[in-house]
Amino acid sequence: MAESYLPALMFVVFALGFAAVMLGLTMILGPKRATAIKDEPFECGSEPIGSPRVKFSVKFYQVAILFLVFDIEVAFLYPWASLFRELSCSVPLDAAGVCTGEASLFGLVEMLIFLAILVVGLAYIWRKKALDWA
Amino acid sequence: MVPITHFLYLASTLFVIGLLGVMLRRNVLIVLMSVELMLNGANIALVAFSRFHGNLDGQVLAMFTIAVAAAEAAVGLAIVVSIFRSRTGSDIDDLSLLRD
Amino acid sequence: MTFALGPVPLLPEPAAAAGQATTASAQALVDMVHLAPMMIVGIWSLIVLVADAFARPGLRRFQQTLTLLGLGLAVLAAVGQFGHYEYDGGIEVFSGFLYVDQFALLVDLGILGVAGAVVLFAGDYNRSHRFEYGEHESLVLIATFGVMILAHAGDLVALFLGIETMSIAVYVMVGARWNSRQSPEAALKYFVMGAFSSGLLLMGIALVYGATGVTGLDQLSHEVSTVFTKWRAAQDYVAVVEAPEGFPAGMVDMAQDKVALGIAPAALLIPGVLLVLGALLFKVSAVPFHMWTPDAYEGAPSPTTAFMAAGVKIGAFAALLKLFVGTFIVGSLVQAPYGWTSVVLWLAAATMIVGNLAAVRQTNVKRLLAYSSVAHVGYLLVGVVAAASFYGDRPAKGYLPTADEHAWASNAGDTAVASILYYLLAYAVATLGAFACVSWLGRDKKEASAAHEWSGLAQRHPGIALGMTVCLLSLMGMPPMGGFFGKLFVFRSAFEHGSEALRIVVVIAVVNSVIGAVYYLRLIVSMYFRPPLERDLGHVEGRGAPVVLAAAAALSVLIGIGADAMMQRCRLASAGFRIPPSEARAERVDELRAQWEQREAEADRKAAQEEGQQPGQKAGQQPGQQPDEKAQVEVPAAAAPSAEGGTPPAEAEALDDGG
Repeated sequence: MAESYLPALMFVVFALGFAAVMLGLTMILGPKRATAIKDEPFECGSEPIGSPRVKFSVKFYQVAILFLVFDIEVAFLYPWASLFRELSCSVPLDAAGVCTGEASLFGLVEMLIFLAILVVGLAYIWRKKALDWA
Repeated sequence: MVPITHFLYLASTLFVIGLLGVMLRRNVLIVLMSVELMLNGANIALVAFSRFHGNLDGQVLAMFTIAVAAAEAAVGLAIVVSIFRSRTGSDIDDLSLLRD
Repeated sequence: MTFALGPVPLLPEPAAAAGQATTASAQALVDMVHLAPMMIVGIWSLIVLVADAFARPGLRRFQQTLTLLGLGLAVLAAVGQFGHYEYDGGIEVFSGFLYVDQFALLVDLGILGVAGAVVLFAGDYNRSHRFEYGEHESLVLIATFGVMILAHAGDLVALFLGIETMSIAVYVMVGARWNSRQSPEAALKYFVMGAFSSGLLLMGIALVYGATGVTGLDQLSHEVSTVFTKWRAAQDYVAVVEAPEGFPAGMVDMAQDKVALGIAPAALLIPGVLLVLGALLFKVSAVPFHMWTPDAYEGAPSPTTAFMAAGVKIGAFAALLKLFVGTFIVGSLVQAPYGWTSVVLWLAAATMIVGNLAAVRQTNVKRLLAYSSVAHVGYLLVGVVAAASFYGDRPAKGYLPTADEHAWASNAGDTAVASILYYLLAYAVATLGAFACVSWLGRDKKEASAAHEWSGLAQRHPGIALGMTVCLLSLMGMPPMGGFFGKLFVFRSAFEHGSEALRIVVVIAVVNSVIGAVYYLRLIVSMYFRPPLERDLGHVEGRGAPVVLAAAAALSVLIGIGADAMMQRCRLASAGFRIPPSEARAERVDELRAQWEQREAEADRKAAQEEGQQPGQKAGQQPGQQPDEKAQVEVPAAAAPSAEGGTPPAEAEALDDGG
């Protein structure tokens, strides 16, 4: 049971280690010259004007809301993907997970229908100019 | 294996925090977040029960709930935006056009 | 559980896949054909949405026509299915996720009629108040789709999705009027309460699932009773746990385990059921969860209010019936001390009292109608309690009911469900008419919904005032309107049950109906006997609202006059309501049809004897032998015109007449 998580553990250790090594190397090797300009919040050459806490345009809300919905709908792809072999076989899979019967388009068509509904939504917001920034 | 009671403690804690949040807090955005907490508390309970019973029904419902919660949050935020375009705060008690 | 909801081209013939080995895709297609009305509405909501996005401005009329076309198709499909022998026993589709049975089909017809009416008069209203938006029709269709999911639900998952689909679309419709500050405020109030009740509902479903391990309604009705069997079995061990002296340690341990295992499911189930009940009471707006109702109804655009008052109520009551009358029918859950009926009964009494007393004080017609709808929920809840009590009552200790008594109880329960359906449809028709009238008065961003603005309406617009009067009288419960027979049937069912509490509440309900008459009559009197206002408030351009009002008034009367025929439809829909889709339910329906045949044959014989002729030939027809025959249950010829299920066909006719 616990051994099966070993690859995941190794992956985590490797990822953390890699990040730590890279950060450490830049800290050791990179030159450090602090100036007044470099300590400013935005290092873009222009002087900061006003407080960073300003009201954002409502457009941001709109895009965030749309992103929220479309992003979450994709969650349905995961269970579908993990069952795709079963869904694309006309008979139940055998013990080894091999399809003994005919191939079936059922799973694929189902997901296409689902995506088609999402595309209708996308087409709708596109035509309604909800994605325009201007 | 973690016993199911632990999951249920977590789920009911989240749910009750959400419940109290909806009933006690007056800021619309916090109320919205509290509703999400309620839904997610229920979700944790569903997934825990699903594992306990060894069938997938609870997980299926949890998936749907995630999508529904997103749609609900989207509509809720849209309503909030449409109200507070013309106002300054987001306090639910300021809404007093409709009353007996 | 596999399912796919969406626009798949329908097979022309349901029989196309029959006979072959059913593959998953063939099965899915057959299921979709069974669900034709729902599928049409679902597909149409997408079509209308796309049409709105791609159509040039100025095509709103076209969109309205398109929507009505889709609704008409769905009505045709539902009319073809309703009463058909194929659906007598109910059919499970998508592996039991949804059912197609007579109950669901009747509710489908009702909600399609509501949607059609709302689409008819919403366009004019939106145009006149300058907030026309193209998504309206699509939103109505989506909400209708949600109600249909509720009517067809065969699984807690479907129930949850149905409620959410319906609610989310309605939240948007409530807040859609951007040139009014009240509309988004109403939407927010409705949304917060609705989302809160969704949270309760989901947690309730989670607990019920935790207690039983299933979500399908028919497995659930079985598992719920095992929960209580286990609980009772654990009671023997409680004594051991409470007084462990004198028992060996091993036995005490075992007893503790047994008690924990036996009590845990019940400890999850009872709070779960109560949470679900609370959430549904929110949706139907019963006291003490009614506070949002007047605000949301007043702030929403009037056509949306009409949809909330008629459509959302139909959906929520369908869910309530499915779950609490059809599924959780175990004596322990229905009766005291852990049952919900006693609580709901007194809540029903409180609901009608609060609704009526608050309505008397209102000076705004929309708020008045909102509180009156709360009162109607109270009357309907009495029926729900009666139906559940007939099905779920346990006999007193030591008494063994005979088979006849069992049959009587389940028949009485079916009748109670039918009464609720009748009441719901009559109420929906009348309330639609009333809100159509509200939406018609006033123009240019200003609704004329204050009661004093209605004075003298009969002099300015006699036709409108007449239609409104008929609808109000139906809501009030004046014979021969549909509302009267609805109340009569529901109260009679409740009175038939022996329980004293139910009888007391029926008396309270009758008294309340009288209180209700005060505010309905006051409005009617002010329409007819007060001088009209100096300035003309104007009205919405377009024929939609008058047509709907006329149709609603006509239907209110027709439902009342043809109460027998209409009730027969409702009986058909509710026959064997508690029994999950199966052969057994089909047998119940067959029995019912046989009874009707017999009664009709006798009536024919009597009539023939009176006229001195031979007995008629009608009695020769046998039900069930001609499976292809359309579902026309034989009804007395005089009542036949009103017998279209109280829904769109008749309204469509009225549209032709009025146009």
